[in-house]
Amino acid sequence: MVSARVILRTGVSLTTLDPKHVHDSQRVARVIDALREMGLLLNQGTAPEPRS
Amino acid sequence: MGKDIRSAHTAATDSSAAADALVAQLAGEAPVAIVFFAAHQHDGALISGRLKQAFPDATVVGCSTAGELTQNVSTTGTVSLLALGASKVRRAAGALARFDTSVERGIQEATASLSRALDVNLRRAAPDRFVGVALVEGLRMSEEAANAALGNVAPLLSFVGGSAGDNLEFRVTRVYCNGEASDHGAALLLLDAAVPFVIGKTCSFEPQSAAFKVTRADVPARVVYELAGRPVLEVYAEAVGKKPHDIGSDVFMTHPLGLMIDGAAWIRSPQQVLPDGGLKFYCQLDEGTEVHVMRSTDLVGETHAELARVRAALGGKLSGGLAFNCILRRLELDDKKLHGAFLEAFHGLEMGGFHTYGESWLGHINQTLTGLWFA
Repeated sequence: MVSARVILRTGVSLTTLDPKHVHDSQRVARVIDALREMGLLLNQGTAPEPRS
Repeated sequence: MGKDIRSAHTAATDSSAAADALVAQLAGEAPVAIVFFAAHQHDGALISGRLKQAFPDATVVGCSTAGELTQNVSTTGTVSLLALGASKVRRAAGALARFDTSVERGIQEATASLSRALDVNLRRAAPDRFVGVALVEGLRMSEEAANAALGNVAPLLSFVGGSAGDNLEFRVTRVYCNGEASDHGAALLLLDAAVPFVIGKTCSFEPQSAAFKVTRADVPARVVYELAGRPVLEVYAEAVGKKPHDIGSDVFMTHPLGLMIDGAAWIRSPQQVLPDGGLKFYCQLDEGTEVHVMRSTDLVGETHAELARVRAALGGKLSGGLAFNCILRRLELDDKKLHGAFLEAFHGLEMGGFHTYGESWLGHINQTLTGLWFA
C-alpha cells in the first residue's frame, strides 16, 4: 500500500531502486522525500543531493 | 426494523421533495453514516441538511455527480445514497476540508477534526478497522495534492472515493458535509467499521505496448510532452496504430495510459491534444514514470469479476457498499447500452454510488471503479 502510494505520487517504483538504478539519485531523492512527508522514515535525515 | 445497510434513490427534481423522498425511504433505519450523491441541478446543501435533521445521530456527506448509482439504477438528474447502520459502522465522523488557503492545510485541519471526533490517532489507527471516504471537488485539479496530504496524515489508512461532477457541464462541482457545502474542497468521512471491509479497484484495460518513460511533462498542468525522449503524440499514435492527426477522444477512450503496479493497472486518461503538441490528461504523470499504452477489454465482465473478488475477500459475506465509477466508464456504458448488464454485478447488494470526474485511492486515477465494500 505504501509502495503504491509512493509510485502514484512520485512516478518512481520502489522496486526500481535496486543497485543498477541507485545511481539515479534524483529518483531516490523523490522517494525519500515522499516517505519523509508521510513520516515513515526511521532516520529523518536529508535526501541525497541530485547529481548533475 | 432497519437493514443497517440501505441504498435509496429518488428522481424528484425539486430538492426539498427529493430530501423528503429519501427520508421516507429510510424510515425505520438508524443510520450512523449517510453518503449521498446528488445531480448538480440539486441543492445538495439543502438535501444534506434535511438528511442531518431527520437523522441527527448520522454523519452526512455527499457530492454533486456526473450520474447516480444504486444496485438498481444508473442514471442522471437524480439523488442516490447509502445509509450505514450500527451493525456495519460503530462510529462515524465527517469534515469539510476547505482548500481556499491550501489543499494540504485543508486536509490537515479536516483530518484533525475527524481524529478528535473519534478520539483516534490516524497514524496509529488500525487499517482493518478504520477507513475513510474522500469526495473531492472535481474541476480544480486538487486531487493529487489531496491524496498526498491524506497519505501524509494517515499513510496506512485508506481513503477511497471520487471526484464530484456536474454531468459534463464543467462549470462547478460541490461537496457537502452535514448541511455545509464547498466548491473548493473535499468532504471526508471516517468510519470505525463494525464488520470486515475491502477496498475495490478495477478497470477494463490491459497493456498494448511496451512501457515508455515520461521524459518531459508539465506535472501540475497534467500535460505530457515527451515519451521516451520523443514527442508524445508521435509515440502514442504509433502505439495505437494511427496517424497523429487521427488521434481524438474516441481513441483516448479505448487507449489510455496505464501505470502497472504488481500487475494491476492504474489508469491515466488522455483528455485532449494541445496546440503546443502536449497531451493533457485527467491526472498528473510525473517525469520518470513508466507507462504502457493500454487497450480496452470487457467493462461489464471485469466489473462482475471484481465483485466476485470482493465477495471472496470477505469470505463470501458481501452486503453492499459504495461505488465510485468514472464518467468515462459511464459514457462507454451509455454508448454500448450496457447499464443493465453493469448493474447486474451488484444484484442482491445494497449499493450507493456515483459517476465521477476521477477516482481516489492512494492517488488520483481515471477510468476506474473504486469502492468500499462491507461484509
